[in-house]
Amino acid sequence: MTAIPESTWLGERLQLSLHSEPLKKRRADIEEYVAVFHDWIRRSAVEDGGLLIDVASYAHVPNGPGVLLIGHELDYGVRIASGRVELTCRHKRDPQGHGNALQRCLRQLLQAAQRLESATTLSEAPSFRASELVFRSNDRLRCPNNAEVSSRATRTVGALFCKVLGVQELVSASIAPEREALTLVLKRPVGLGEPEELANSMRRLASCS
Amino acid sequence: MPNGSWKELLGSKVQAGWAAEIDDFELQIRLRKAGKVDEKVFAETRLRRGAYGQRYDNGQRHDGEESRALRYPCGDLTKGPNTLWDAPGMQRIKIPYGKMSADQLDVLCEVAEEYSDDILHITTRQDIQLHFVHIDDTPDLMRRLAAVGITTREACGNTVRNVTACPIAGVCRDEAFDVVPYAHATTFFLLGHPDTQDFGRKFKVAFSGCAGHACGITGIHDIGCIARTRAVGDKVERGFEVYVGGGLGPVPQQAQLFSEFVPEAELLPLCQAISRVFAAHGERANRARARLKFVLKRAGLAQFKAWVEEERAALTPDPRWTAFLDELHADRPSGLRPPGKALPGARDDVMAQWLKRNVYLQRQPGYAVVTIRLPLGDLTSAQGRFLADVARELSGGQLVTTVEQNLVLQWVSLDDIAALYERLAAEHLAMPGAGTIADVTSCPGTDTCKLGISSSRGLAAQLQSALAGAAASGDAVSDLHVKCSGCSNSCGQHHIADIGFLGVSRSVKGNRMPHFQLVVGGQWENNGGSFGLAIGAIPSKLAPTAVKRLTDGFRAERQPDESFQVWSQRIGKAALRDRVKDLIDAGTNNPEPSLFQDWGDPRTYSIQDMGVGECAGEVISPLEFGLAASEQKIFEAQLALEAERMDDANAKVRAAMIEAARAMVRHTAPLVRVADDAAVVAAFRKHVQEDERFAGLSNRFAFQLLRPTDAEGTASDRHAVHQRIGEAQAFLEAAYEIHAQGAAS
Repeated sequence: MTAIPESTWLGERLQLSLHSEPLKKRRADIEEYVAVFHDWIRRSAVEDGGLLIDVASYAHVPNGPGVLLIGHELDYGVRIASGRVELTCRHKRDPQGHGNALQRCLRQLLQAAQRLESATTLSEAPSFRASELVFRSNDRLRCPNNAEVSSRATRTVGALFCKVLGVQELVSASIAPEREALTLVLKRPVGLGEPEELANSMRRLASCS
Repeated sequence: MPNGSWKELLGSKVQAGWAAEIDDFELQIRLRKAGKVDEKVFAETRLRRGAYGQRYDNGQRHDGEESRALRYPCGDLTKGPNTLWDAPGMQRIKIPYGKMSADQLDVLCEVAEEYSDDILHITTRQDIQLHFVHIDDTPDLMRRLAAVGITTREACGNTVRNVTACPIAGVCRDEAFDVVPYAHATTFFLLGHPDTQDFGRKFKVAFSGCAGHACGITGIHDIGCIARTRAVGDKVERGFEVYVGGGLGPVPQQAQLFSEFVPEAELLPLCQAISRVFAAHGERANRARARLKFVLKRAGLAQFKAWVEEERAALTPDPRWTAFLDELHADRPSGLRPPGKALPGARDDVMAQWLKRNVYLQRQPGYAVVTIRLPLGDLTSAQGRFLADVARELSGGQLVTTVEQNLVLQWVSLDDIAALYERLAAEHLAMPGAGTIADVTSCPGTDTCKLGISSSRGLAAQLQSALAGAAASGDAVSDLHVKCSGCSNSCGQHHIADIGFLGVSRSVKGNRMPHFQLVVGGQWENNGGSFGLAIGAIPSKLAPTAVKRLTDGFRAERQPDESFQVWSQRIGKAALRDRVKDLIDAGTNNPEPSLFQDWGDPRTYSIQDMGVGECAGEVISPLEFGLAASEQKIFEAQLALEAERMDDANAKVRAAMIEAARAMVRHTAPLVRVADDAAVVAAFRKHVQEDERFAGLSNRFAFQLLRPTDAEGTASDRHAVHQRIGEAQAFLEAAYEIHAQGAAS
């Protein structure tokens, strides 16, 4: 087994996305998340996520980014696609010198997912399982989308996810053509049974630090 | 694995002048961080690069309960007055006459993904804006755009803003001729021109191919040019009907006819002469009255014309005035694919609506313009890449933004229309109703603008949905135009809408309630032919009800062929107000709690988030800019000294003093023109050093500037260079004292 590559080479501009279990309501209202995010700002609800600034709603844009919680260091985004909530955490900068953007982004993503699971103001709170994660680099200078970088990123990102999900291997694929940002999908193999709750992943992630 | 920087990677792809400008801007960022540039000067510097402030950048945000501090990591470091360094900002990107290539759109999508929030926003002046951009990211963002031929220079600030034009120029059935080459020439002639660098306010230019349509909305611009031809013997001469002094804002003003025919060769010198008049006679102290329209108001059209003619006569001929005319007919766009035979049939009602409203038959047989209707002017990076590919394949690799916040593809073969519709529909980009009542335009409003009072985008989004049925009806209501502005600066162009909304607030029982002033009867056609009248302020949440009542009334009472404008005049302002009076009063008579919230925002409404606008930029004199440039060169000299590059350091020292001297000459003797360094030195001696007002500073002006530039006057050892840098610094400080004297007086 190869050593886990240091993930700092990925830089600071990257994002991770997680999909919820299918929603029961056929037409979930994405606008409900506007109030949830405003509440997070009001209560300074995000730990170690840096300053939260504002909420931007792009609910009017078909296939758009949905509703965004804009922060100084990280943004959070929620959209509803194919009957599931897609939660994205976007790591932008690291002024405090945390050092490992990928790990930090994953931690914030999982925390945000847990927070949404317990959001009482939503007519249907989503339920997340860490069975599939989407990684995207937002740094074409450092991570151009080519075979070499894709392969290295798959190893780097995959190693962390394996640890966090408690599995030995993942099914991974690079899904964007070269002109687009490097994007990887990493899935927990189907044969491993039902995915665990987020809390277990959070515990494993904490032990990685 | 690529390393290094965008600057290294892009290298020669960025034209030298633009690269140097961006390098300078990056250095200004470093200097500001080091406290070596005044915040006001830096603010105007970044504004002139299109880097604009955004809501909450003063570090305060009302969360619905109270106003709280946003503690950005930068501490007290600012990028302008009351504008914190780390606060996200808006990057405005000029798209001259709205035209961009597919390759340019690809890069716009990349920078939107990496530095913004994945959204490209098309403005009412054909620009593209990115939001939530950090100032530290802007130099690389600008380099990447510059590498594909896009500059952000003079996108904001007291400058010539994006030159706009008809999005269907060149293919329009009614135009006199294609205005694009003229808009292009005007854009790059005025960009960075010395005569456009000393304005007290922004300056807008627009071109239209005809008088009747609204594509160019020339009636609301500082200079509006409508294409005209006239017969001269057996030839047809091209020229422009030119209007001046139009503008919206709190005091809207229709442009006045300056000349019925300005020959094409006179277009650029006329623009230059008008620029000079604006620089010379425009207001400085009162920014609210500093646009060109107030110069015309004060002086009158006759005096204004006399000034322009005087300046025109004094201009030194410039080969660029006419050079572009030689290339007018070279490589004009044409169809990539063979012309088609006819428009396809519609597979359903939605496609029928799309064919009717989003497809325009070009004057070139077999081709059409297709409008991609974008909700609130927004599209994602993924959608942008898709459209870039479509443009490459079907329309010659070109796309055009519109002032109605949409995108158009020209030169689509009629044979490709059906397949294009299917492809657009699959990407959710085939929304019908372009140019209808549902195609509501809006400025950013309280979403991101520091000046926003009400949520113009929130209202516009609501109206787009509510009016979809009216748009599809095909009756007279479907042709109306609705426009929303978040404040009186009128970026949403509400004055020239049939039904316009202007964000205001009202105090109700000690609390603020968001309202929109209802403005009725403006004219979008005829290039923004006339302005509407305010009827009354309505709580934001009730604005859609007001639209329904007005459109229902128009539909029911309209006489044959009567326009909304004529109908509203016939009904009368008082009667129109009566129809919405209960809505106006609803804000004060036991108001519903929901009226204290704005569209799309669950927080209890407050106006405490409003900041000071940067719309016009800081008024920074050329002297201040010159001194800032001088300071930058002194800093560069210090870097050269550190690197033991003595010749370079010497050159930078001299350049710094020349820069400061040039600025002082311009300040003390504005009419004196200096062509080269020797002329600067001579003019400096005469107009500054020998000016008794500055007698107390003369010893400090006696330094290096008066020394020869030969070897004798060039220091070579480290100590001597260090001393010269000190002398340059003293020279600069003396110049700042002159500036301070001017400010005090």
